[in-house]
Amino acid sequence: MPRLPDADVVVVGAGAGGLAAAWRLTTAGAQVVLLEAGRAYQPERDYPQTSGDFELREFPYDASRDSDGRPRYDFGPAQPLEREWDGYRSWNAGQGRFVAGDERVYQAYSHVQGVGGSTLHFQGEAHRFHQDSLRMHSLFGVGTDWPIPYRELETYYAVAEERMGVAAPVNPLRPGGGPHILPPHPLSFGSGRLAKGFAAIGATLLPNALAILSRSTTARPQCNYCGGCTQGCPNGDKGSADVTFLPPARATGRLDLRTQAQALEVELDPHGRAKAVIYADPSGARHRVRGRFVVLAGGAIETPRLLLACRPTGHPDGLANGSGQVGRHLTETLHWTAVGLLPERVDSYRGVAIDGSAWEYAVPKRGNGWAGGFRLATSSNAMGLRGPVAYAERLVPGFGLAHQRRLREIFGRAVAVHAIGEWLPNDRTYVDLSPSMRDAHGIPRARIRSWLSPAERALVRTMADTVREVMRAAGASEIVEETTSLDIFGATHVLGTCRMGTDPVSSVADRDGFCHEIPNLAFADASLVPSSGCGDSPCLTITALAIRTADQLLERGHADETTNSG
Amino acid sequence: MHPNSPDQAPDGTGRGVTRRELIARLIGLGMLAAGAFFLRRIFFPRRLEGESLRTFEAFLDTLLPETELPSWRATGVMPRLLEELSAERKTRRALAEGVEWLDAEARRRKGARFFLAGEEARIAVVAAAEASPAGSIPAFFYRVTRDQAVRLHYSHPAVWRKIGLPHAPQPDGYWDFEDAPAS
Repeated sequence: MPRLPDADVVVVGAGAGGLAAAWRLTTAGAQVVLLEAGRAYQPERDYPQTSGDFELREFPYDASRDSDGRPRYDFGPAQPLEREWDGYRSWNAGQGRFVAGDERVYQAYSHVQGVGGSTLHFQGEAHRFHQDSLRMHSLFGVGTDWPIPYRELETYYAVAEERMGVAAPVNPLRPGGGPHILPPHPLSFGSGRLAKGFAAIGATLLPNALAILSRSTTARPQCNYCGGCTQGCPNGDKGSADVTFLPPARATGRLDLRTQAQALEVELDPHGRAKAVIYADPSGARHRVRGRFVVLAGGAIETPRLLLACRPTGHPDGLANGSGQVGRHLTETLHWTAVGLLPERVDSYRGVAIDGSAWEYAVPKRGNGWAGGFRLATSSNAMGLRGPVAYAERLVPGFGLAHQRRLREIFGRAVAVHAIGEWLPNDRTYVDLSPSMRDAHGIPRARIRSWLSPAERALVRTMADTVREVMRAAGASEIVEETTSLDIFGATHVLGTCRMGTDPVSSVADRDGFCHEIPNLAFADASLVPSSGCGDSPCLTITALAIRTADQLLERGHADETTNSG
Repeated sequence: MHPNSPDQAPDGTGRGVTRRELIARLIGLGMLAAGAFFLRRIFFPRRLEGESLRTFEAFLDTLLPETELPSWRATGVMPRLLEELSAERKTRRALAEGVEWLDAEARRRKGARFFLAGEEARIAVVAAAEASPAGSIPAFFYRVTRDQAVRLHYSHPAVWRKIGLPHAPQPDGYWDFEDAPAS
């Protein structure tokens, strides 16, 4: 007699998408086993931000390495840096040029493993994509179109916003709203001083749309504006998935969360359906958990890695990879950031990490050598300008008395403006398996290959010129740091490696988020997202799509039950 | 065989050592000793002590002098800095070679070790290290020690309070974030 499944659904990965899907499924009555490779963090204990050396403390986990200290990722060939881009390379006043050589450097891929995933160290940005971002191929002949219309996504945006606790202004360029939206966070004093710089380029600096509470709820307190979102929120006011989706999912009694459970393999039954996930516990012991459905939510790097590493009979190139599309179409978001000095002290270390945004340039269009767009934002705390260490190390050159005097003169005057831009898929940017690096379980590491096409480089130039103009017009014309993805890979927004589409030849998942090749295998993470938006942070979109996938799964599960019982 | 053949020892008991062989062996030994010396310097650079330690202290005095702000001695920089620099072979070596370079450069300029060279000369020597070509011993030494010393020093509350940061971000946050800073 066949063994009954351990759960209705096995979800792999407890980040933004996995926890949102698990919440939707459990609250609808499904039994869910949720496997998470990392551990669970306790905010007050693990990231208090109360000690004097708070600036030296990163999030309490080095996302680029395993617990044994070994690198988690391999990287592909480095892209040469052309001389014509010399005026656009990363540098600062304290340390000079970041990249000494003439090749783009893979600095790190920093996605936290743990319950909450990347939302543990995200900045709370909760953006809706522009509706034209879903039709880049139809409108501009680049990228791909989404297989679903914007109105379907809108429904799920609202669900995600309500659950995460989003505070946002009225924004005609990203319409939304509704009674669930909290009042926006005011701009900090320092960011307010930059508004005239935005006005000079025809843009309006609005409070950012943030999953950070602007007033207390029964479960969570209001933000106290410490600016340390990237180090983990000890208050729980930031809407990371561990404090928004996990508690109500647990309260159903139908969630079995297993931490430090590294998924190794998705097993198929003789009919080609997913039947179980094999995972390893911290001792290395292997376990099998059976489910009627399997949902992959490990993110745009780990999800394709798992599929590519599985080679059951009939899948010589990896699971769900008959089309060769798994791992392809990796997109990031481009960035350009400038730090400038205002004439007077504004104590820019106060306030939420990215408190202001301007959206006029974040509407898809065709530019000088590029198609897409970018969003501008004020980001002093996101850039780590939180105390004297950042100033002393990065912004002030030299040593001794002159260094001390200059530091005291400029402390509290540094402000940052950044541009985040669209990255279109290209043939040289993708994820595959490392030929030389394996993890502790013998599974090949993911190898990230990142390459900027001429369009990306042209867009970075436009972003840089625009940011420099904002800074100049705002009176922050003494620039002390510029950083960019042009010469450094340090991606945080990675998307598209198992993208959804209508054509199984050019996509991995269908319009419902289900695998074309394996009917009960679905995706609920960034790998599903077909385009990178116009500088929008992708967390809200990932979450919305994950909830939508869960709803589609519930429908399919119900249909299966009806068929079987009939 | 010729009686004076190099293979024949004078006492006739077997092969002796010729002058040429002796020189070759001495050269070999010398090369071995030199190799060992350099390997030891690379893998096991000596710990700072005595006058080398005084040079390094004088270097920190030059980087982080006591003014209106506390000095590095008050913020406990030295033991943590040495611990961190000693953790990796590359920085351990940079520390040892950098201190030697400081002394050599001070001798060249002032005829005295760095810590005896006087404040003006010390500043000039450190400025020369800072301005050295990227990848050179003084440039790398300056970069790793300066950046790490600065990080450790300015993360001390006694220093950042003097600069104007009122408190750590938590637990109080910064509720006055909309206001102009109090003068």
